[in-house]
Amino acid sequence: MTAQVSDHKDQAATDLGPLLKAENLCTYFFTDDGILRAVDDVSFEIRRGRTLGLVGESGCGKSVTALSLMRLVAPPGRIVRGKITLWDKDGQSKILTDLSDREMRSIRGHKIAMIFQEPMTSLNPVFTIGSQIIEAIRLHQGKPFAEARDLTIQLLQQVGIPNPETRWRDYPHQFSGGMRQRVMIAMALSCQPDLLIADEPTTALDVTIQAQILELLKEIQQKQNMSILIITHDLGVVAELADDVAVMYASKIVEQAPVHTLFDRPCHPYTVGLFRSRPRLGQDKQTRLATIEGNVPNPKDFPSGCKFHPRCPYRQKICEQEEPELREIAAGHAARCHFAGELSFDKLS
Amino acid sequence: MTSGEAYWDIVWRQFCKNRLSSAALWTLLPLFLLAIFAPVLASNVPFYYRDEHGAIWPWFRALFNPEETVDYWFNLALVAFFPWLAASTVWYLWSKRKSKRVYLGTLAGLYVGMILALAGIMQIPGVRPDNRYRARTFPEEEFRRGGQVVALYPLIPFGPTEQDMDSPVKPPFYRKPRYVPGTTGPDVQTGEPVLFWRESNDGFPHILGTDDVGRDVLVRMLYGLRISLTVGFVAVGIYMAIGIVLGALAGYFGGIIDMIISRLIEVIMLFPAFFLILTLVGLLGQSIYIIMVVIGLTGWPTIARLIRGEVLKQRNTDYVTAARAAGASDLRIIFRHVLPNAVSPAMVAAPFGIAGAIITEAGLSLLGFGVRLPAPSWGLLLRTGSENYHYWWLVVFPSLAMFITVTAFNLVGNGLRDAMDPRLRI
Repeated sequence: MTAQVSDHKDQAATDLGPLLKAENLCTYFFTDDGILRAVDDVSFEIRRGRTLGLVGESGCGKSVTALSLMRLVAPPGRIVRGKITLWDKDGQSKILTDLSDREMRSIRGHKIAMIFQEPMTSLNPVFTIGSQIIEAIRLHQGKPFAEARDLTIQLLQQVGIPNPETRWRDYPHQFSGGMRQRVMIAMALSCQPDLLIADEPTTALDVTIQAQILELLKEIQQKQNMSILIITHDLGVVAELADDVAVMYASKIVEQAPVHTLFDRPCHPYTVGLFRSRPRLGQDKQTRLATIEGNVPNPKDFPSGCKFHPRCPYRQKICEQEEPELREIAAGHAARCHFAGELSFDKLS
Repeated sequence: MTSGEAYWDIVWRQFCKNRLSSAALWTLLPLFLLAIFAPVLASNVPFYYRDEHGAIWPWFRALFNPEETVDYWFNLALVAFFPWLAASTVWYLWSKRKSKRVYLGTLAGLYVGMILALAGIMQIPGVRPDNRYRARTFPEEEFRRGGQVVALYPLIPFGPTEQDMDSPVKPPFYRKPRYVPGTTGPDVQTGEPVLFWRESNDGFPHILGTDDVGRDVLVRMLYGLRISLTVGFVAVGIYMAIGIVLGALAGYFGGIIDMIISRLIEVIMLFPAFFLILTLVGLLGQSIYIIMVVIGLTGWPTIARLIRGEVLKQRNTDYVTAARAAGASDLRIIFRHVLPNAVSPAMVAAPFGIAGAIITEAGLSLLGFGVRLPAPSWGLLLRTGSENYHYWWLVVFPSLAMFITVTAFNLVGNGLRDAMDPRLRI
């Protein structure tokens, strides 16, 4: 995918109000080996109808962040600190971290829906896809079977499954990966959620199917004014889909900006490293691929001070000692670096 | 592919390809039918009896008032059989789209439902036919002089507990001599016309002989099948129900629930069912319920362990996470999503459990600690056989019955296990 950023809505033009806000979210895993701080002091906001892309390498805590939003973190992990607020259309807000389990269950699948990375195993093999979607519908909307079935067929049509009137009775093993992911999307959309969390939905699919799925998500978003939290490690996906981006590294958000700004003027060395490490068309075959030296740290043993400092080409003494705060550099653009805004990077493209 | 092929359809297809196991399953079907239709084949109460007082239908009344509870339920199954067959045919013709597996499930459920409904109806006072003919016997020789008596008996006119001290330990194909009306002729002394009786040897034979008090062996074997199947299915039913629920809870929730249930499994596994039953029977007296309940309560740990293992595996799958993300509650996830994927090993254990329960009950009856005489348990037949072993038919035929039944269940279990193994897919 090229780094061409497609047209996104301007921030100020169509602001429909806030939808979800996470403030100082901390999710730790209390294991026998010690406390693993998977998500540490993460804050972001998703406004209604907009897409937030959460980018990072494997192991940086993005999936745990998504699970924390749904309060699906399994023990020994739990949300230690922080507040998650959800707004509905009338402006009423609910604090998700305070809700009981039963109240949270009525939100899951209904106001916030999630689709997962592995479409091959996300569907129960002993039930037809139709019955799984119908179950989701009846759980939250209590519709009678016939109505739920008609809605299911409609949804399957919407996500692009051919012959939905016969295929709704088929089993998951009769579908390919891309089709299964569409089924998962149909299931997620069945209750018209306000927020769709997509945890690397296209990672397990090939590139052409990836494009189709992203087109589908964009189309649905436009029709229903649904917000999307897309978690990915692929900057191309971010470019296609996101309006705002948050870059995560080692349990913290290291840079946050609207997508155009991030792609034009990244401020954090990690983000810059990510952009640099993509191979480019027309690059001379003899040049070595740029990499970020070092490895993603193990949560059991995060580096002191700035977590990125062992791999950062711009590190100074202070980076080893003191952890930087997320500082706002320009409007809507923040970075977690002692020298944010001061460093100048070579042209990236 | 028109409609989907679910997991159980695949299992059924593989099972049918296994000749030995299919043959075993086809053997079990007639066994079930024999158990249900036992009174139609063999009973000492006639369907229809007419003498100078009128015509009566004693068999039907006897059907609803048998001596044993086991017989009562099977008789209800008999009564419900043809209505069920009719209802099933109607349903089959009316709804075509479902797969074979759904048919089997619905039909079985329909049958059980009808039997239970019938039992419920029988509880309504006045509905259940009383057994006013219980005290009467209808021996074949009861022909009144001068009157016409017509009696229509089932094929084998002997009952399972009908003693006949005139014919103890008779060999197979023994016909009891009886007196039938002969010619009419002048009485020797008075000269009046009188009916002469003649000895006849054309009564129905005891095909497999009689035991020490004259009861027909074949009929006892037939009714004994009812007891064996009941003990097998009820005991296994109990322990499957307990085992699946506890295993699922232990596997899904983990933590302290798992710890308690696992310790319970370990403790109860130590109890030997057989000896526990011996003890309880010694204390409380012989009863078929003790056998069924004790086998049920000591057998569930094996199942619970199997289910717990599978549930632990299923707990971490993506579709469980997806179901949770869609807002399903824990209980719903366990019973609707996890268990259907987790019951396979337990399903394999079930037929073996039934076979084991049948053998246990027979063994207990053989020792005298099982069902009470004169109930027709196979073990009791063998007990008589072991005491009178010179009479080979008392030993060979009950043993054969048990061999066939138990082997059939074992083969079905084997076939099921092979059918579920993905590596043996054809």
